[in-house]
Amino acid sequence: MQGLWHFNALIVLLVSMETGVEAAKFNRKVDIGGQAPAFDNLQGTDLKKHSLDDYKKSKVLVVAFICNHCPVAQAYESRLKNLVETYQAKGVSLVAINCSRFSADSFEKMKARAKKQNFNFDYLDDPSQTTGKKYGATVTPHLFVLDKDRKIAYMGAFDDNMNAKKVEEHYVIDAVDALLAGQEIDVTESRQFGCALLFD
Amino acid sequence: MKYSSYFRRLALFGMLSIFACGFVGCENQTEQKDETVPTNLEVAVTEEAPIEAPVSTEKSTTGVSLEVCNEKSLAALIAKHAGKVVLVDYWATWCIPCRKAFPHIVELGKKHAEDGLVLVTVSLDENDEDSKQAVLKFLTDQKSTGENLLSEYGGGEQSYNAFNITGGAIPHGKLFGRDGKFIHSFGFFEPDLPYEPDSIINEISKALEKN
Repeated sequence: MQGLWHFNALIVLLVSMETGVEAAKFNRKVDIGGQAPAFDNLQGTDLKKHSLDDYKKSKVLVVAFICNHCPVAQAYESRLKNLVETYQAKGVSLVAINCSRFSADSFEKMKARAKKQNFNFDYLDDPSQTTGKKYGATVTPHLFVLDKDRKIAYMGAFDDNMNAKKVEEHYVIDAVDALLAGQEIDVTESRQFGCALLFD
Repeated sequence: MKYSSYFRRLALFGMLSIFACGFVGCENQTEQKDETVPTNLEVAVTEEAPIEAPVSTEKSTTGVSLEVCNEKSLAALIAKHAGKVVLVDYWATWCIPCRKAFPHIVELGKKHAEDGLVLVTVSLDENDEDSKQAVLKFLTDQKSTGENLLSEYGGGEQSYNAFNITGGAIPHGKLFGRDGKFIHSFGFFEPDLPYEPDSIINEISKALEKN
């Protein structure tokens, strides 16, 4: 009996080692190197429906879970806009998804926010929270950098400080730069921080 | 997929325990710990933790004070309260659910103070003068007369790592027993218990019953 256990454990060990996917420290749903979950027909503040496939021409896609109400997410809005401005010519796209369900995060309020803040990226509503759950998003803002095959190359915080003046580690920018240069990413995961996403 | 890493760990654990069983016979399996553990806080309290002088103290006229802390000075503070149960509440002025829960947490702390509960609040606001004043004002309004701290690392990633805030989300609570050992965290993500009055009160009561 014990021999059988040994054998089973060995098989499990070998099979699991073969996948070669890194263990995620701060995410319980997805891993670095894993395929990014697809999303379909999410309503954007541009009143169009958007899917992951819409961005397939982009060499790098940054998926940002944000919302309206959260001061931490708000603190990063200009950084997201700057990223788009700097990198869109290089084939990088950014899509923001809101799965927060406070009244301040309603679709109507999203449209108002996108307009007021001049968002230069798609801002999508995920009212069923399905996409947020699939990505294992825990807070806003929570960032995912996807490579050209839409594998998760980086996930976590945008950078290491909500206060832009105190930032020392530019995780997302560094990951995007590395992907564009065909280099390895130094930090593939960091601990995201911000306002808790409450799932039903 | 997440599962593969889980299975890999499981397999490793399985292999190790099978070997161990083979040699020494099986007893209790070790309890599985929070996966995201690498915190000093939960460990440090059981080790030698010299009590450090506060970095700075702000005091409002009503006797509500605010002290800048890090994971080491917090661990020292918990150790100082040996024999009592300590609830650490992590919050920030910008965090709406934290603000809503705060009066209940303060009330809880006062209600069970006699039974041996100590409430420690840790603000994850920015570590600058404006923020400290805003934090102190809120604490004063809330009559939070206990141990009030503010993370020296401010509102960035470092705070959430230093104090091991699961999912990077506040409000977040951590409960320590009379022996100074970490019992549970309360938050919105596994493996936390929910950050809800019922689960917090329940765990506090259990911890207080233990001598």
